[in-house]
Amino acid sequence: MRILILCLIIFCNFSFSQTIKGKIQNTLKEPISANILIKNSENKNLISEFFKTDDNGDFTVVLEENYTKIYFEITAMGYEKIADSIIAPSKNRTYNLNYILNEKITELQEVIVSQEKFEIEGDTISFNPRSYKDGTEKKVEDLIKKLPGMEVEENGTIKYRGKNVTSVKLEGDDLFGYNYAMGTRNISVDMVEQVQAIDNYSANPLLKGIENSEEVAINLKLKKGKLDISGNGNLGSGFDNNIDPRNDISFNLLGISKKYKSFSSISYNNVGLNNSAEDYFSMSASLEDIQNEDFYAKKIIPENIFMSNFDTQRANINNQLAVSNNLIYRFSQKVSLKANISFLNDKIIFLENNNTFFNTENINYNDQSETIKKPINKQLGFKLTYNTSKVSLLEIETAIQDQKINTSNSIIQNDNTFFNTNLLTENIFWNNKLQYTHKISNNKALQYIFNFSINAIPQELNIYPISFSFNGNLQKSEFEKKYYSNKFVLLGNSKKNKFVFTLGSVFENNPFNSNLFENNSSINTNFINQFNYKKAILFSEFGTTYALENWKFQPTLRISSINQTYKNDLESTNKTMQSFIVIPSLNISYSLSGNSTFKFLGSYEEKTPNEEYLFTNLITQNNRSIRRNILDLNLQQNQNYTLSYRYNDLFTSFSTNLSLIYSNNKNTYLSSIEIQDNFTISTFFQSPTNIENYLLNFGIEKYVNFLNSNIKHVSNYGINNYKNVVNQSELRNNQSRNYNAYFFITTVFNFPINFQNKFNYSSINFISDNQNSNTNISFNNNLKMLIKPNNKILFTISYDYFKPNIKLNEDFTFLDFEIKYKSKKMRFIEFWLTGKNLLNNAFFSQTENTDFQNTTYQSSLMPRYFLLTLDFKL
Amino acid sequence: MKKILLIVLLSNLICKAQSNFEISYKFIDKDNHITNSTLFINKNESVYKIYDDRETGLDESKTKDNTYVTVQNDKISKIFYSNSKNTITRIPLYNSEIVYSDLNNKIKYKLTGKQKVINKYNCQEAKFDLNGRKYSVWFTSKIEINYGPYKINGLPGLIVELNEETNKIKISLVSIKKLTDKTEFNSLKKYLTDKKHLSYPDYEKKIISIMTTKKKKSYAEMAELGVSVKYDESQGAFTKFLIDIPTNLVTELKKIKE
Repeated sequence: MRILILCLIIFCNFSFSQTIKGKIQNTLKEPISANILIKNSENKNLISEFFKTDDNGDFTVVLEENYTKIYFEITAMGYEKIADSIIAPSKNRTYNLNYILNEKITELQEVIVSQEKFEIEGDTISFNPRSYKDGTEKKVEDLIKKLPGMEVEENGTIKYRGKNVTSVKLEGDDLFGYNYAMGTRNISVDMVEQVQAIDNYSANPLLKGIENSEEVAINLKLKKGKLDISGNGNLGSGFDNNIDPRNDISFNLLGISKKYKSFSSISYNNVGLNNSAEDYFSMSASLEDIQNEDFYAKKIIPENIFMSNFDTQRANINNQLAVSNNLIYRFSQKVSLKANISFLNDKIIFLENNNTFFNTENINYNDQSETIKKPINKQLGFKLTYNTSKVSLLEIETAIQDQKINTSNSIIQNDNTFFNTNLLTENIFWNNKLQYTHKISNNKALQYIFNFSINAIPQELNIYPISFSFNGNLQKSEFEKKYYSNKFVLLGNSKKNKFVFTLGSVFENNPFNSNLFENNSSINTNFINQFNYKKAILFSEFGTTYALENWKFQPTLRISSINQTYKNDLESTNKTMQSFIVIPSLNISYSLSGNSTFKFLGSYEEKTPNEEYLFTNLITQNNRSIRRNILDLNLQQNQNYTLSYRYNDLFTSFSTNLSLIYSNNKNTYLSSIEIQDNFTISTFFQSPTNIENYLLNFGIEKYVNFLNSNIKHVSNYGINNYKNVVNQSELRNNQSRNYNAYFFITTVFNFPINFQNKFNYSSINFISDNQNSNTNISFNNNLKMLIKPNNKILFTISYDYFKPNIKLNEDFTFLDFEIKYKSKKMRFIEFWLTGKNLLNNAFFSQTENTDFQNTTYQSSLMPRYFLLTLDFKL
Repeated sequence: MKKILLIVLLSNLICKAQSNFEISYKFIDKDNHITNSTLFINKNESVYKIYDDRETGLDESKTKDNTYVTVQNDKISKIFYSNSKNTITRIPLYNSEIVYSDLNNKIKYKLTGKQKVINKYNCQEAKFDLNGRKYSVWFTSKIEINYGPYKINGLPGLIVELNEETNKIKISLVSIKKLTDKTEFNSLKKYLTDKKHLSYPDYEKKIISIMTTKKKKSYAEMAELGVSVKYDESQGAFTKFLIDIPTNLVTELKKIKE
């Protein structure tokens, strides 16, 4: 046997080549210029060699490879193809292939190659909207939600492949800053030619290639108009079930020239839309809030949070006027000025009936409330960019924000006590930044960054008549923060290694005052807080990024010295705390291929306590709760570890990710709750115990060929451990386990009818001291049918089903429709007819549980309404 | 007899209809400037034209962050005429034009065996070097067209994507339809075939002479200003506007020192 194999090998190696020759003619015996394609017999799509005939239609070739079967095709422009094969060809033999080709009868149809869905160029992926739109999109945000790998959160923050998008640029210019939701929620989807996702984005052009940027930016490429100025808008008007008018009116103006770029928008609506970057309904932090968190003073009396664990638009009974103007003006090649001005005025009405049952104490709170929240927000910001030379850049920013929220509440407590509360919060924030960048050489740069900000939050809470067992009806509170920071940053890049060295200082001053009054006189010393908390930090940090083949290591070491002083003149308490800390962190990533990456992140940090835990005397929070803290300036110690895997392949439309996050926190503040018949008193205290949390996240997105559908699934499973004290109990060990799953399928049939279905499932389970204490399971499903009988009409009908608690008999269904009509002649206008909440549900229920209480909320909904909208382009 | 004539005529018509195409390509140049381009195929001849109407000078729309993009172009821009033997190329250069011919059979395609689907077309990759540049091409044998953009002729199918690797030029298919109006094809063909054109060796000589003079002049001018200039090893400043780089151009240029 071995000898035979050996012989075969020798034979193969010494065998001679195969030769083919022949003549190709047409039916009139005229020679044809034809292609002879030799194909791989296993993969008939792959050509392994090819030749052409000469002017006489003749060819003679010696094949490069030795084939066990020669499969070949003869093709020529305008002729029918011939496919044939030579089975078991002998070596060293010439085969004669003479063929006559027939002319093609079928004419080539006009083929317009559909625009590519996306293009990839380095770190930039350009998505072509046409390939992703289904016709229901109005604003850019609606489109971004449909792009692969992108997600938009309730507050307008965009996530791309799990990372926050830090800027949305318009034709390369960062016009909006962190408030880009103002742009994405107002720019019409028809203006956009391409959406580009830019990975490893450097906002500073001088640091490109030097800094190790993990940031993601989006650039909107706009359709080219003939004029510098273009505009669009919509006029929507209708009525609701109470014959009250419902309107959605907006107008946008975009100006682009070499000198300037500007986007202005004005909108008014009372149909539940939020056209701004702020969220006054559920008070979630905007991207700007998250970026500026260090500069903000704390709001001690919490705002009313409206709860809605489903489509906010259904519950947001609003009256919003939003105006903004964003402008970049270039004085010269070197100097440009950006100005952002915005104004927001809203009135949100929320009716609620909530019932809280404290299972441990057998106490029940019932509140029926009508809340009217009236926010006013004014913002003005400037940024001057000055390219002082080819290698240096000066950026100066200043921004001021004045925000007032007036919330009035009429409450019926436990069916018998009536009273009103009114909370007035003012928030004045002034922020300044100076940044100077100098590029020392091609691979080194030095930066100086200076920040100065002031934030003051005066608050007044009026409760009438007095609802507590003690006197006092006016709670005042004012936190202020002054923040100064200086930073020198040296960045460098060699072939395999990037480094950043930072040296800096931070100084903070946080004075706080609060008191409870009755008829303008302070009445209870237990309610007086007056202190000043100062913080001084000196730090240096060294971080490198080292790339070795498929590995990337990013170790960082931060050394800081923190000095905290707390001075309370009233109680003559003086506390100081000096800490010297060393904080390491490490990121490791391994890319298996261009498409898949493993990552490990490990970090340790020590943080000063959050300022909201610093007041030690009582502060009224609302009609049901009072709060205080026990002061402790010990640093909170946090450890975080993440292990993740991500696979992305746009070509096969398949992506998946899996991540496991573990965190361990020590010295966190825990709550001790005293539940009384009509109100609760919470006391927060620091505890040296370790609190561990786990989170598992899984996502998958795939285009399934045989179903002609896109399928998406996201699952989150989290275990949170926490401790608390309820009515002088021992320290209770609690655990919450929640599971959240989301399934989405959208069909892309080449047919006038298509479907989209979303299914959400969530379960939360609280265990206190190993006893199964509280579980809630809820789910909802949204089915949408899109009917497109022709290019002019799109009809959408949507059916929602909610089950807020599977243990209860209650469920809710919603029916909505939308018709879009686009005339072929007048391309600049579109008509929409919308009908929402057709079944006219007035209330919606949700259940919220914790380890010691069950709360059911009944909240009001936007009544049934019909709206006719005219969309136009100028 | 009439019937036979009719059939012959008809078959002829069909035959012609099948061999005439107007193929539109998106052309992205070295500076990411996007223009339209069209490949006209009329039986055994083709014309490829790039519709770039920028004039020679700085392209201000591309000028960003203090990097300047220079353009060598005129209203007629680049045109190529090919038949089964050779290709005549017209390029604008330093406010003048250069018209030269080159043989088609110079290209030696290497099939890499890589496949991908571009716009529903099953494509296969071929790589080759031509006149000092490296190319990679994705083509589909489903549409039997032997002509392509530039002078990339002789592949057994339609070119769906073409990448020139050093200058990062990308040409990608947009649409393909029957060529009905031949006016443009004929006038472009006439423009090139009527012109006196250089043979490829003469083109090489001429370019080497233009470029070496250019480099010497630039050194002289700079020396006068007291500024020193450095050109990179590949002499990119002198080759970037050329499609075909003469064999000895880079060596000749390197000999010229400050």
